[in-house]
Amino acid sequence: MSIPPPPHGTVICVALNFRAQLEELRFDVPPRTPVLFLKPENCITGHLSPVPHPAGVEAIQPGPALAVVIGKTGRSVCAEDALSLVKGYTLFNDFSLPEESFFRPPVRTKCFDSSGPLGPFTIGRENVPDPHDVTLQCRVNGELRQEGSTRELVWRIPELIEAITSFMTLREDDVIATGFPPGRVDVRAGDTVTISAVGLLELTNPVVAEAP
Amino acid sequence: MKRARVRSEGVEHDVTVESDGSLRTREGRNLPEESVTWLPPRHGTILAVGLNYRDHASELDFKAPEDPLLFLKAPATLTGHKGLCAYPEGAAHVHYEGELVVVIGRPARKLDRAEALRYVSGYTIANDYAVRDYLENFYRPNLRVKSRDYLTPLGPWIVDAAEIEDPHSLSIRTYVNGELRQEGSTRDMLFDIPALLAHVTSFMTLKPHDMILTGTPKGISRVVPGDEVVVEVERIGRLASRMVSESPRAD
Repeated sequence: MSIPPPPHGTVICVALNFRAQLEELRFDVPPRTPVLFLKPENCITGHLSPVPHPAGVEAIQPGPALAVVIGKTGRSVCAEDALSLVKGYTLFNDFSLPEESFFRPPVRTKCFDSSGPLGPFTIGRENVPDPHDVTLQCRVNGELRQEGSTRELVWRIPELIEAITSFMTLREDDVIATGFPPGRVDVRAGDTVTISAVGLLELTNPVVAEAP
Repeated sequence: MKRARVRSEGVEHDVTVESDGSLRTREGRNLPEESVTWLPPRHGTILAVGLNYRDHASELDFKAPEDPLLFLKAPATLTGHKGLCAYPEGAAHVHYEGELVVVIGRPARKLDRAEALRYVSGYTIANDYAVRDYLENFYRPNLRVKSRDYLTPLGPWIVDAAEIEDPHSLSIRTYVNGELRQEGSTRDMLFDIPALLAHVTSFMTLKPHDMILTGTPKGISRVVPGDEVVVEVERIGRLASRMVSESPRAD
């Protein structure tokens, strides 16, 4: 039994948004603005749905993120007003091939089918007293393999909304996956991946071999 | 057959564009062109290809890529034929990019080159504007450069694939205020349409209405508010748009 993903429009993700990862990568010129990428509709899947491991690929890597769900249309929203645009929160898991470079848009690495579980459902923002103090975990076959906290976000939610709406309109049910903790782990067909926003939400997906 | 989507008196219609230019709704009603707003044709996921013409790649001082340079476009960036494009305040390097667009007709996964064109239902035109002021070396070209609201005119219509015998022999021309500024041919694509479809579907499933913007030839240049820009692709049509200044607060 799988659960369809919650209603969603455009799914925007933020890469390189944890301080430790940025510090470790030591770019000569660090990003001036949030590093954004899109997960198109063929990626989006729900809780308990299988994630096919693409044939010919050594490993894929989950990426847990607290996802902001937009509640109303906004353009040129300043950071002070930004949280009024937020309807609630859910989880997004950015399955990805390992990234060797951040220079070109991550299409082949991140847009394989069902590589973006979303859900299991959206919780109202009143249930998350401080979205910048949420512990994110990733368990593989029950074992804790990755952990981080939204306290470590480089660009916080109001800044992300300000930056995105400075050039594009956000609409109801658009989703922003706010950042992925460093230290991604390899998973393979047969593994079960559970990401969680501790005390709030859990999103589980089995990894299966890709159909020919 | 040319298929388009228009809005007339607040209602959206799927229409066919008849040989005399009239727009016929599914119910068989004719809509006068002057009464409609052109909308972007029905679309799903929108992929685009950068540096897909050798002369354009060298114009930007880039070596031609070994694999297609793909990026995704957020749907909010689309606007229809004769639409207004909002010029970003303070930008200095806003460049048009005239392109042939491939429209997918049925679910497509792991296609061979030889069969790929059978999955194409039609062709349309895009002007894939870039705001080069905002380029950064992370996921380049970044969303801010390529997914800005109302900065990707698409249309006016989709021409059925059956009517385009060879999509690799079409001229592309871009005019600014009537002056020819960009001219090329789809024969000069580095990765032709079967190669693009085989590559994309090797890792993701394309669905009906998904689109691929196939890249722009040499001849990009700046536009400014007030410019009338027309992209013409042989046998497909002419896609017009006008650049206007954007108010700093659009909400």
